[in-house]
Amino acid sequence: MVSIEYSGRRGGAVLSLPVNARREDTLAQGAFSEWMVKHIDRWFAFTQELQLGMERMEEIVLVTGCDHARSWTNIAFLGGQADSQGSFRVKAVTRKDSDTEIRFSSGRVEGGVLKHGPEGEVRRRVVYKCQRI
Amino acid sequence: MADYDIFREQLGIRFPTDGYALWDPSPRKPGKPVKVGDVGYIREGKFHCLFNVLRPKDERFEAPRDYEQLRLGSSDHIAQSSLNSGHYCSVGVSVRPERDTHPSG
Repeated sequence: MVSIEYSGRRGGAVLSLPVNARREDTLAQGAFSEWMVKHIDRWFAFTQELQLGMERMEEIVLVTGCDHARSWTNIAFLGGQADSQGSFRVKAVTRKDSDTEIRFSSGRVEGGVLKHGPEGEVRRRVVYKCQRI
Repeated sequence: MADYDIFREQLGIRFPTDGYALWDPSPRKPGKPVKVGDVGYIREGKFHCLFNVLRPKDERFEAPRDYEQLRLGSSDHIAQSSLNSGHYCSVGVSVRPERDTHPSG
């Protein structure tokens, strides 16, 4: 069981990973940056054609790196009250066949929201989730 | 402020070099995770991919007019590492692992 406490009014956050996540980053960061500057007007025009409701081209994201997590628990404390707390329980069990079984058994947060996934069996080298961009 | 905005903002302040924290990191299509080169947007903490700049234009995806593929000098441009398991907390948050108690007898 993991217990979390938050003290403050502006809001707080927790990202919890029961097993390591795989990180990928391009080594060609400069080329991506230049490409985005060169093409952003076309990309933004494309989003307007698709009527996505995008108001500013700054909303467009070009992914140059990401973290792939096989299981995750996210918590957001909403703030506005002096102290908040919560708890959750996640167990990662590596089995003989090298698969990992993730069990999320309970979770609660007062003054906040908890989101988690996936649970069940996750296999090595198979990416199920991207946690961060 | 919504939960997904608080999550992104607070982790962004605490871990400024670690990118954009997604409140809902599940891929839109199962088995199709986010890839380097994806162009898209984030709504309510979830990433929506439009196309990937490293792919040649074909009929399988919609692309902007005059789309051009980004061709890098080397196909081996991805550095792999790992993000350690653990609890990544924003300012003001403390985490305390507690030993589980199991009734005996």
